Amino acid sequence: MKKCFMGDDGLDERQLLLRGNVYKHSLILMMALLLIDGFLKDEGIVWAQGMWGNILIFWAGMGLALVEFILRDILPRSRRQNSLYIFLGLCGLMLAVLIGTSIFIAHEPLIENGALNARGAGLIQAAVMLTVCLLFIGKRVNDGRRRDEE
Amino acid sequence: MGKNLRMKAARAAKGLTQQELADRVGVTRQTVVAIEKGDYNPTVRLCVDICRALGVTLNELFWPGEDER
Repeated sequence: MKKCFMGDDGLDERQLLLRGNVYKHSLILMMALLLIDGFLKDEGIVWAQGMWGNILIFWAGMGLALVEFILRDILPRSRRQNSLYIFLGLCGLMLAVLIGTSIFIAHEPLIENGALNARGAGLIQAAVMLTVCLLFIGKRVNDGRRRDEE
Repeated sequence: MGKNLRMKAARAAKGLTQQELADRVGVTRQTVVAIEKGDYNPTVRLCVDICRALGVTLNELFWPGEDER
């Protein structure tokens, strides 16, 4: 029988349909955040130092897309792609440990002059990475249990 | 869209799990779950593949009954 999987990602028709919606949500969120960021800058309000504001906006869109991918079962079948989620989690863990060490040992601040500094932004990035990875692992475990129960 | 209980019954009659049916038609188990729960409206191509895998006709599985219209 001819398989219904399409594209190189090994996603089926339902997943491809949902993936389009996820990209749309991510794009809308990033556009809204960039707009808010622009208005704030125009008013002279800086919430993150240097480039970190834009990087965090990118992570917000990316994080939303990855969380939706996991929750809506748009996970690719290949192990190589799935291992990216684990790699992301490891990066997040390393980042959290590095920044956590500097906070607790050197007592370095996360916010300077009312704006997030590199450490603060890094901690938020680490939180997003860890959330995505833990959600992925939780979802996989849950799916495995459901398959066994059936 | 209501639950597709006829598909679930046909699958059970054939002795297939959701994963086995998914593997036969080339989709993920979650897609089979979504179709059975009525959360996803499959394409005609997928409907035909499911019917072939379960040995039933399109009408038997997907044509709405009098009470479903």
